[in-house]
This record gives sequence, structure tokens and C-alpha cells, in this order.
Amino acid sequence: MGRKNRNRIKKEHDESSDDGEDLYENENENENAEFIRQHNIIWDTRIKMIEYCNETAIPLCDYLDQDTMMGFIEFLQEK
Amino acid sequence: MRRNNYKKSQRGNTEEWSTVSRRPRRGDRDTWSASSREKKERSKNDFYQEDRKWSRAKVFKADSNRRERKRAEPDFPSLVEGQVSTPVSTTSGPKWSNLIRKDDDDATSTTHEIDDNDADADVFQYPCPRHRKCVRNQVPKPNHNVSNGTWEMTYFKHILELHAIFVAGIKRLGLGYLDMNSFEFLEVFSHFIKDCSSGEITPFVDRVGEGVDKNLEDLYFEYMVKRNDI
Repeated sequence: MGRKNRNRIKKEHDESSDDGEDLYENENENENAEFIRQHNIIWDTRIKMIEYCNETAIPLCDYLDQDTMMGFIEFLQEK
Repeated sequence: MRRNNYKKSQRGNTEEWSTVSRRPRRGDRDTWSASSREKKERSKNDFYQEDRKWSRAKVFKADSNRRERKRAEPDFPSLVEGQVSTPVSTTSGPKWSNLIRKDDDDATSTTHEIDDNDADADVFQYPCPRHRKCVRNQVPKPNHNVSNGTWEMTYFKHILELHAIFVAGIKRLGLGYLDMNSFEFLEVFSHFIKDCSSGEITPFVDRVGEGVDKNLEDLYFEYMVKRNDI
């Protein structure tokens, strides 16, 4: 790589590192935090339901996994 | 010396009384020297001639016999009015008493009596036709032929409990705009629970059927009426 080309790339790289990337990263962090919060809530709810099924010995939550619960919540949110 | 007037081919024993067979000559039609084609034709003609003769003679004979033989009319006793005719014993005909054998006598019992010694005897097995081969050591498959209403009614109490747990947990997600206490949401939740389970009724469930819990039954009836929009 030549000297001029190296400087051009370095200049473009410096220009692209502005505040937009920080905002994008912050949004991703918020989304991840919201996703983790929802995930924890759904997880707790699922565990409670499974515990109830185990206590009463009924086979209603045998195939109730996290993805199924998330899919059902998304279905309700679309409604 | 008397001169022989016969041809050379006709020499030999031509007399009918002679038992010595004459040696066949060339040109003799009644001998083995005839070709196979001639033999076939000859046998064919002989067959038809014999058949015709036989059939004609047979038919004529049968007709002549039929004319000669007349069926003898039975000599029934004359009926007199006001008098009951007594049956006449016939001397002709088979004697059925001679046909009965000793084995058919009722005095000798042919029935198989079950004793203690015959307890281990083989039991007669009726041969049942099998349309397909028997599969042994196979785990019986679950029966999926369970209606949704039966399943829902069986687990309605537990569905209500799970619904309460689910609503209490999901409220934190901010889904308050959904009317989670409505029968519509309960119907959706019931289908969701059925999809998450095997969809079958376990034989160890406590309450199956009607008349177990009156309040629960009324509640399910109300839910069913609202769900079906009756």
C-alpha cells in the first residue's frame, strides 16, 4: 500500500468515527437490556408454570420451552 | 400242379381262419407301411364313422326301449269317503336299520368328558385369519383421537391456575392493553397449553368427567357458552 493511499484511508476512517456509531451502540445496548429483561420475566413465568405442573403432576408443560413462550408473547404483542 | 392265381403281393395266409399273420407288402394300405398322414386321415374317418354308427344305433335303441317300457303306475288303495286310510307297509326299498352302524348307537356315548386328567389337555383354538403379521414387543402408540373439548374440560381447573400464573408474570411486560381475563384470551391460552403438552389425557388425572366439581362445571359451561357465542 502506498503512502497516499494509506493517508486517504486513515482520513476516511477518522471521519467515519463520529457520534452516530455511539448512538447505534447505545440503542443496541438498550435493546439488549430490554430483551434481557423480557427474557427474564418470561423465564420466571415459565419456571412458575412448570413448577405448578410438577407439583400437581399434570403433563401440561412438558414441552414448554423458552422459545415457545417467546413466540407466544410476540403473538400477543402483535395483537 | 395248380397254378397260383394270386398276385405276388397277396401271397400268404389270406384265409380268415388262419392265425399266422401275413407279412406286409409294399402297396398294402392296411399295413404299417402307410405314411403318418394317411394314418391320421384314416383314423379320423374311422372315428366319425364309428361315432355316427354309434349315435344312430344308440338313439334308435333308446327310442325303442322307451316305447317298450312303460312306467308301472302305483297301486294306491282307493279312498273311501269318511274313512281314514291306513299306511301300507312296503317290503321294497332300503332298510335303514341295516345302515346304522354300531358307532352310531346312542347307548355308547361319544362325548368327551372333562376329567381332572384332561385338565392339561390342549384347548381347541379357533383358526383366526390374520390379514397382517403380528408385531411383537412393540410399545403401544398413544391415542391422539381426543377431542379438544374433552381435554379442555378435564384440565380446565389447571388451565385456570396456569392462566393466573401467566397473567401475574406477564403483566410486568406492559401488556396491559390486552384483556387477559376475557374468555377469548382464555381460549387462546388453552390452545397454547395444549400445544405445549402432549395433548392427551393422562390416566392419573384426578378429576375426569362430569359431576365431580359443580362450581367448576358451571364455570366451564359458562366459558363454553361464551366461547362458542351461543
